[in-house]
Amino acid sequence: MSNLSLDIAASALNAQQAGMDTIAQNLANANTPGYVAESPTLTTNPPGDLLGVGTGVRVVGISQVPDQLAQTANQQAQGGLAQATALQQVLTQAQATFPEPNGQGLSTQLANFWSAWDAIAQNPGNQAPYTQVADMAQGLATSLNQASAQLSQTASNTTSQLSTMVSADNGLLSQIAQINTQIASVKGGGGSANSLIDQQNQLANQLASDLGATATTQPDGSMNVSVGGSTIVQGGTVDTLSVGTVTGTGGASALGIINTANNLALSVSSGTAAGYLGAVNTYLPKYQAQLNTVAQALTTTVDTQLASGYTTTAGTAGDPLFVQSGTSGAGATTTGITATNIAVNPSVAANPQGTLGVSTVGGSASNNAGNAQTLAELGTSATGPDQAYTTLIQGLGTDVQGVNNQVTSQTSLANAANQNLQEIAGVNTNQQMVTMLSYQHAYQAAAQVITVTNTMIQSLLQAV
Amino acid sequence: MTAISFSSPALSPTPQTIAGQLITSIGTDQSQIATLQEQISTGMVINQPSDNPALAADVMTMNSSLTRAQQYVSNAADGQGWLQQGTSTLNQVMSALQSITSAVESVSGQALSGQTAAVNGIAAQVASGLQQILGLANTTYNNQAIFAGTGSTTQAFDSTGAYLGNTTAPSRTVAPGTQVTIAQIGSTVFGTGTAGLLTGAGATSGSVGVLQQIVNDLRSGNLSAATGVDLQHLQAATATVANAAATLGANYQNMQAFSAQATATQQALQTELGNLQDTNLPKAATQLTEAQSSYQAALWATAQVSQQSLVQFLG
Repeated sequence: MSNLSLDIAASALNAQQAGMDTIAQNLANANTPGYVAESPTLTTNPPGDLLGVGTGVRVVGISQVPDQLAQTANQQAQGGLAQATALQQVLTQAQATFPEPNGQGLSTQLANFWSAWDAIAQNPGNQAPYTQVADMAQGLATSLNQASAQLSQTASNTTSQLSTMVSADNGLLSQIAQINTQIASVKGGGGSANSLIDQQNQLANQLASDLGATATTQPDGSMNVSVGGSTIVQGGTVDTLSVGTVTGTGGASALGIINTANNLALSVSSGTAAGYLGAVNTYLPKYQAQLNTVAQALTTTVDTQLASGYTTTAGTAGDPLFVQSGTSGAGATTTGITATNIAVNPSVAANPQGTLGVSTVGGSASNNAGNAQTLAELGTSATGPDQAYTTLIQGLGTDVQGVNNQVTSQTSLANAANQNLQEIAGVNTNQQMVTMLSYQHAYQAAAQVITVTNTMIQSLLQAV
Repeated sequence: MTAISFSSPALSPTPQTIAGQLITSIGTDQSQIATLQEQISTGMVINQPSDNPALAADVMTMNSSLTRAQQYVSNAADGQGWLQQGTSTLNQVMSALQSITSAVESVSGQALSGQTAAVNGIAAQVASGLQQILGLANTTYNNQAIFAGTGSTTQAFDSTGAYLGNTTAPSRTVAPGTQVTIAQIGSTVFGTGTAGLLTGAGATSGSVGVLQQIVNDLRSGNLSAATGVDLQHLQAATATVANAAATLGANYQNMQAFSAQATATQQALQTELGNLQDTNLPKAATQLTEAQSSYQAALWATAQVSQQSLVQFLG
C-alpha cells in the first residue's frame, strides 16, 4: 500500500514540476511576439486495482490556449490597417507635390499669370510686360511638368517598394512551407510542435499585413496560406509570387501580383500590397489625368483667346502660347497636351511682343491690348485651368483626409483585435503568479506526503 | 479522466496589451500636439489640402480673387493716372484757348487804331498758342500719347497737326467684366479738317484748321473774318474741348469709385481669408496646453502602471 502512496506522490512531483516549467517558459516569453501561453494538460492515472484509488497524475501534453479565431480576426484587422497605412503613405507623398493652399503652388502662379496680362494692357508698347507673361507661362509649364514627373516618380517608387516586399514575402512563404514539413515530422515522432506553431503564426501575421494573406491551420498542424482566394502554400509546397502587369478592371492593363506557378493574377484586397496597388492603379493615375486636364484647359483657354487677337507690333495673327513641347511657331501643336508635354512656344519665348495676339484690331501696329484685358479675366472661367486645378486639389485633399480617417479607425480596430488576441493568448503575469503558487503548494503537499509515508514506514520497521 | 487546466478563459489585460494601449494614447497625444504646434508656428489652420479639403479649395479660389482684386486696384490706379493727366492737359488747353480768344477779341480795337504791328503780334501770339496746344495734345503718360487712342504711336499729332492715332479709346478693367475708358480720342477732342484746332499748323495756305486760319486771316489783314466767323469756329472748338474735359472728369470720378470698391473688395477678401485660414491663437494655445497635460498624464500612467504586478508581493 505505502508503495502506491510514494508512486502517487512522485507522479505529483513530476506533474507540478511540469507546471512550474510551463510557468517559467510563459514568463520568459511574456514579451515574445506571437507567443501563445502554454499550460500542462494534466489527467488522473487510472486505478491499479478494484479498490478504485487512482494511481496519481500524469502530464498528457503541453497545450496552447486555443486562439485560432482571435488570430484570424487579428490578422484581418492588421491587413486592413496595413492597407490603409500604405495608401496613406503614397497619397501623402502625392499631396506634398502640390504646396497648397498657402504655398507658392500652381494656384498662386495661375493668379499671377492672369494678372500679368493686365500689365500688358497698361503698357502695350513696352516689351517688359510681354516678357513677364512669357516667363510666367514658362513657370506654369515647368510646374505642371514637375508635378507630373513627381507623380510618376511616386508611382514608380511605390512599385519598386511593392516588388521588394513581395520578394521578401516569397521568403516568408517558403519558411511556412518548411515549418509545415517540420511540424509533420515532429508530430509524427510524438513531440510538441508548440514553438513551431508560434513561428508559423508570426509568419502568417506578417503575410496578412503584407499581402492580406489568409492562413488556415489543417488538422495535421500544417498551415495553408492563400492570397485573394488562391492557395500559395499547401503543406510543403509553395508557389512563388511576382509583381507584374495584369489585366485590370475594364480590360485596361494594371499593376498586379502574379502567382508564377500558374501565371494568374491574385486579387489582393487587403494588406500593404492592396494599399500600394490601389495607389498605383487608381489614385495616382486619377491625379495624373486631372493634372493633364489642367494643362489642357490652360492651353485651350489661353491659345483660343490669343488666336482671336492680333499682335501689337504688326497687327497680324500671333502664335499660340502653350504648345506641345518640341513644336514651335504659328503652326505648333496645341492638341494632345498633357502635363508632361506642355511647353511655352519657343517662338513666343524668343519674341513675346511680336507673337502674342493681345490686340483686338488687326491690319496694323497698335497700342490696343483689349485681348489681353479679356485674357486677364479668364481665371474665373468655369472651363479654365483654375477650376480644374481646384477640383484636383479638393479631390486629392478629400482622398488624403479619407485615408487618414481610415487609418485612425483601422488602428483602433487593429488595436482591439490585437488586444483581444493578447488577452486570450498572451502571458498575464499576475495570472501566471497565481498559477505558480498553486503548483508550488501542490508540490510542497506532495513532498509532505513522501515525508509522512516515510515516517509511516519507519514506524513499521521499528515495530518489527 | 478529467483534464484540468490552470489558465483561466476569463480575459484580462496582459502587460503587453497595457503597454500597447499606453503607447497608442501617447502617440495620439503626440500627433495632436504636433498638429497644434504646426498651426501655431505657421499661423494657418489649413497647412495641406487634407486638413480641410473644401476649405482649402475656398482658400485657393479666394486667393485668386484676391490677386485679381489687387490687379483691379493697380489697373484703377493706372487709369486714374491717365485721367488725371488728361484732365489737367485739357484744362491747360482750355486756358490757352481762352487767352487766344481774348487776344482775337481785342483785335477789333487794335485794328481800328491801325496798328498793324499789334495785329501781327496777336497773330504771333495765336501761332505760339497753336504750338502750345499741339504740344499739349501730344502729352504722354507712361510713354503713351494719351490722345492717340490705341494707335501704335508715341505722338497723337504730327507737326502739321495731322492726327496719327486711331479711334479706339484705351480702357482699364476695374471689376470683373467692367472696363472704364481712360482717355479721349485726339481727333474728337481737337477736331479734324477745317473744323480742327490743329489742322495745317504752320501752313500759310490750303486747307487749314481754326487756329491757323485765324493766324492767316490776321496776317493777311482779313480782320473781319478773324473776329467774325473764325472766332465762332474757335468758340465751337473750345466747347468741344470743354466737353471732353468734362467727360474725363466724370470718368475720373467713376474710376475713383471703382478703385475704392476694388480696395474694399481686396480688404474684405483679406479679412475673410484671415477668418478662414488664420489660427485662432488663444484657442490653439489653450488646446496645446490641454494636449500637453494629457500627454504628461499618459506618460505618468506608463511610468506607474507597468511597475505594479503580483511579483512584488510574493516573497
